[in-house]
Amino acid sequence: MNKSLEKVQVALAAYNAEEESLFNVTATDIDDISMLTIIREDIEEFAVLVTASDTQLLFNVALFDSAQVIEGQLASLNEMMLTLNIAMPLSSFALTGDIYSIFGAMSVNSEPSQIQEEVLVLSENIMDALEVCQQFLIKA
Amino acid sequence: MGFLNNVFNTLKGYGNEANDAFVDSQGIRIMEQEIRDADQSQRKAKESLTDVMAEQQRIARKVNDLKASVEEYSVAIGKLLDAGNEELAMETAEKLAELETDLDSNQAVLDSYNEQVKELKKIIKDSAKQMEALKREVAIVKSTEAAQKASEATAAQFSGTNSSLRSASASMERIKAKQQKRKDKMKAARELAKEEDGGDLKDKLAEAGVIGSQSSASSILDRYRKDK
Repeated sequence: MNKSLEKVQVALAAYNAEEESLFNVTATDIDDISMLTIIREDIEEFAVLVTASDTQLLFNVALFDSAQVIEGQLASLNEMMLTLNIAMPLSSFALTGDIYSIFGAMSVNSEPSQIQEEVLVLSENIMDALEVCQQFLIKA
Repeated sequence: MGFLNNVFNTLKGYGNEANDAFVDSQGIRIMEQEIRDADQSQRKAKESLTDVMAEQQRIARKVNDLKASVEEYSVAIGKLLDAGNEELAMETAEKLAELETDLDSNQAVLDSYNEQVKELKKIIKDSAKQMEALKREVAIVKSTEAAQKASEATAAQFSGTNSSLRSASASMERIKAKQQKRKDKMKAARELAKEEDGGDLKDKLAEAGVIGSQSSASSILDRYRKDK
């Protein structure tokens, strides 16, 4: 596996040892891209996917796709996300293809404690992000 | 064009219904071709630079020699005129005129070589920069593609299909309900533990005034007063 991803794995294992296994981490390869899936035990439906390039670690959580957005509300949703990007701690909203997500990016040279903080804060942002977006989403 | 602009154009291929791939692979191929082109133009410029610099040095030596001769003949003419040797002075002046013409034309060639060297060095530097920027673009596009695949993988993991994510609001409600259930469970567990301590009964008896709520300094003093 990628060395940077290994670093993330080690950092989270250390965190789990102290915090009663909050995160379940598995390594997967999709096509030729290796990634980690981090599942926080109380938010298991929204996994954090970690990929690494030569310079960056990318932590990404897919929230919903554009098909779930109420018709005519896309522009308002996008505007709200851009407005909230600065306010959201350590994470930002993103759109890849038609999938909306929140993500955090950090240097591959980050310290284990910073990686732990990144994952913890990102996972804590998931429910808040969904909550604020809910007004634009089709009810289940 | 800035690199974000280039990256965006590559990613835009996705918006096209006919092209399902997130990253326009043609776009990456074009960028990789551009990297090869930049590499080749850099290599050519380096080869030319070697040739031009060799020529530049040869001409520079020639110009220096001519300058030395011009100087030498100029001094000689002065001396010949002083000595009154008009005929030889004239002959020398003719030679000097020839040398000066030669020097001028060679100086012009040298100037143009100097210009070319400057130009080639700039091309080499620019194409190195361009290659670096293109390589960075390809890396960014590829890591964006990785993130996209990651998103799709999450979607597939829960919905069993690549086409759409499970309903976010339904998931959110489920998570909230689960979190509430966990909280309730923890509260129930705390209450149970309290009951096992007999805490609950004691609380009720104290409330009913059957047992003293707590031993206090004044109740102790009361006890002494009664004994007297």
